Amino acid sequence: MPFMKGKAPIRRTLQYLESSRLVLRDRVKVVMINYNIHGAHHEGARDFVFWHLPQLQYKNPQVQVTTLKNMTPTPFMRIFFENGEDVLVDVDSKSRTDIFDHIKKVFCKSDTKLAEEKREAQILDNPGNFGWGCDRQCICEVPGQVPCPGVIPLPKFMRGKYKYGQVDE
Amino acid sequence: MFSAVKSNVVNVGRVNRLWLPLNDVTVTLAGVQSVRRKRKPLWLPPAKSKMFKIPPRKYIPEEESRELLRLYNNYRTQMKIIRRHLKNEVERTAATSELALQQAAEEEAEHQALMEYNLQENLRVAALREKRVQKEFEAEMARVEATKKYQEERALLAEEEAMRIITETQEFAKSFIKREDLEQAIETAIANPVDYNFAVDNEGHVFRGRLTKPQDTDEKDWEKLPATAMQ
Repeated sequence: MPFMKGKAPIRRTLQYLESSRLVLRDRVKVVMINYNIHGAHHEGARDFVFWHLPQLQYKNPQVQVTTLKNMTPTPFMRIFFENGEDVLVDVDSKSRTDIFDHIKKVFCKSDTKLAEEKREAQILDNPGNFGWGCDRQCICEVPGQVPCPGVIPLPKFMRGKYKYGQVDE
Repeated sequence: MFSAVKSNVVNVGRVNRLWLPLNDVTVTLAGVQSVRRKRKPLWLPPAKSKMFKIPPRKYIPEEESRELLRLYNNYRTQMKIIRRHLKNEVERTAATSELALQQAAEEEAEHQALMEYNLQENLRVAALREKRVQKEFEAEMARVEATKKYQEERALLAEEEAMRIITETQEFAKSFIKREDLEQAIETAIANPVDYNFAVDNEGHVFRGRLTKPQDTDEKDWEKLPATAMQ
């Protein structure tokens, strides 16, 4: 099958990517993770990268996410913020779920905040609006409203040239 | 004349009259809505009544138009001023208003708390890592010790083996025939021939010597081969 590529192709499905809750805070700009390919104490980091890094990048397309392999004896993560400061996270001998929980708690928007933002987005998205990007292009599409003057001319009392009298030379 | 097209023209007593008071300008759109066309199609030539019509050109005196322009410019400038001023006000207050400051302070506090938590976590993991590394180091040292001991034992055994071989060979060397004793050795060998011939019977008794017969010795003195093959 041409679309089930790779070791665990579920990681490439939209449903899997969308269901992640790893939305980083606004001030996080770069996420760097260092780990080795072999070694029992790197296992957690390896699994985290394998399962959760695609989700992280999907939810934060503006954040740079890099992996560096086989450079140091212990695995760690380095997060860079807007103001240039960076923070180290030691992930030696931690399990995948531990790392996930830690990152979620320290660097991601909390669930309440996410729900709030979603609610705000919904409020802005007023279904009563019409125009570009909305359900209706023009109010004249709604039955019961004044029909489109491009299709049926408006009655004379609604037209400016008759209301205000024609200008004589 | 039969026409398949629905038309508003009806034949009333050999005279064509329009059935509906419309000027044939209605068109149905997808059979749902009637459209009254707004203007005549571009490909139709101008009507006879409009052929020599000159559209009136508006004349505004120069001073009046200048005055109008001045007034319009002033008005537009003022509107722009007001809008820009209001925008700047909004931007200024949004950044320094109480609510914004409070929110910023809250975020900072939250950030600090989280960084603190992260630090604590790092320390905890560092302690665990130290222990693990220590254990690994000790295991490594133990392994090295064991290997050294093993090597020592092996060396000892090899030495013993070497000594054994040397002593054996020395013993063996004593039985070497020297050049002076060669003739003597030959004579002894000729005088004492070794007979390798033997015979075996069904019960496993072996009779050594080419000329030995079973009758020569008593039955109880016969040599019995050790029965090890079938065990």
